[in-house]
Amino acid sequence: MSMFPIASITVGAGGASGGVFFNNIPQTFTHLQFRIFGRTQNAGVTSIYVPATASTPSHYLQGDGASVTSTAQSGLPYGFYGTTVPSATSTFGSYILDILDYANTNKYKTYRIVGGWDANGSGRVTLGSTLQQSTSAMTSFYFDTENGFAQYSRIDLYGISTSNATGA
Amino acid sequence: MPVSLSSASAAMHGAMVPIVTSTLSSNGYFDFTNIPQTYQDLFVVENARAVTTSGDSGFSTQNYGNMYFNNVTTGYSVTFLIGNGASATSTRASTQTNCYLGYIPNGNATSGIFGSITTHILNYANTSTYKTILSRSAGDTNGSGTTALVVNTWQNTAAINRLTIYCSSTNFLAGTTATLYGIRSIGQ
Repeated sequence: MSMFPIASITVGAGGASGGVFFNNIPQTFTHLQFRIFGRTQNAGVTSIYVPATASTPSHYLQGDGASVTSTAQSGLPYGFYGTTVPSATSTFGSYILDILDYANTNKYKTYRIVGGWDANGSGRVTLGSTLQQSTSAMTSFYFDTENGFAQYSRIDLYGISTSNATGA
Repeated sequence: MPVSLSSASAAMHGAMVPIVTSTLSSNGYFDFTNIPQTYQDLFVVENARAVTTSGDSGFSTQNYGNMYFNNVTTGYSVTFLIGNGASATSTRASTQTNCYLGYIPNGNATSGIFGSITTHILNYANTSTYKTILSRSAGDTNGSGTTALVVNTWQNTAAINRLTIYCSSTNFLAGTTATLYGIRSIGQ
């Protein structure tokens, strides 16, 4: 199994209030991985999410440093609405999002996300899933937060291939 | 165990490039220096066991796997999500001297049991942002054990050029392994 860089987006000065887009995703890999390093522009902690079809289900297991919660969402047109990024100075959340069999046209797509952030006194760590109830091959992807991404936020997209030679 | 990376492989293997791997021949720790600044992220894989028989956080058979950067022991904070086979907990610590990466078996565990920790260090070479460290640990000792998902922040904008990987007793058991990978982005 090998991992190859496809694209990278870094948010410049002034931030990105309209989200971050990946278009024309190659259909030649087996899986996709997004590596997200993000911070929101305005005060507070806001959700990072991916717009999706209506009533997209998500599930989370989260720790906030004091308690553990497991929650479910099913009525939102977003994926990963329970994942968050901070706005604390220079502090960024890190998330790794895996999408298996993204080009398959017979399956719904299950997204798995792992990540979190810590701001020296507050923080959250998250294991999450979202079901994209569509059999379409994924050709584009869009991330946003409730208040946009701050400068230096970065999202890298990788394709993961499998090999008959290695059996991976 | 100091390891200079001057002889690290420069060969490219897709996005994940092995930089250095090391196995302890005697009890000790890892000190990876001269880390190349040419990747987007770092990824560390450990198969580890602590020497001590003094457990951490109430786990008699488990100890913390730790890490600090650039020989700096200030500015770390952490949030844990931990399962111990009976319950799930989340804890936090501020203003720490190191990252906590999770838990590994210690000298109270049955001989031959090692735990695993994987650690992602995103944007490690950036000089404008604090560093966020995401790790997962697995330590099962047949009757007790932990699995943890952990996020640390190093409140320092310096590029990371050195990793010191140790456990809370300082020494890993001989046979512990650590491998450092660089994750290339597009154009790197």
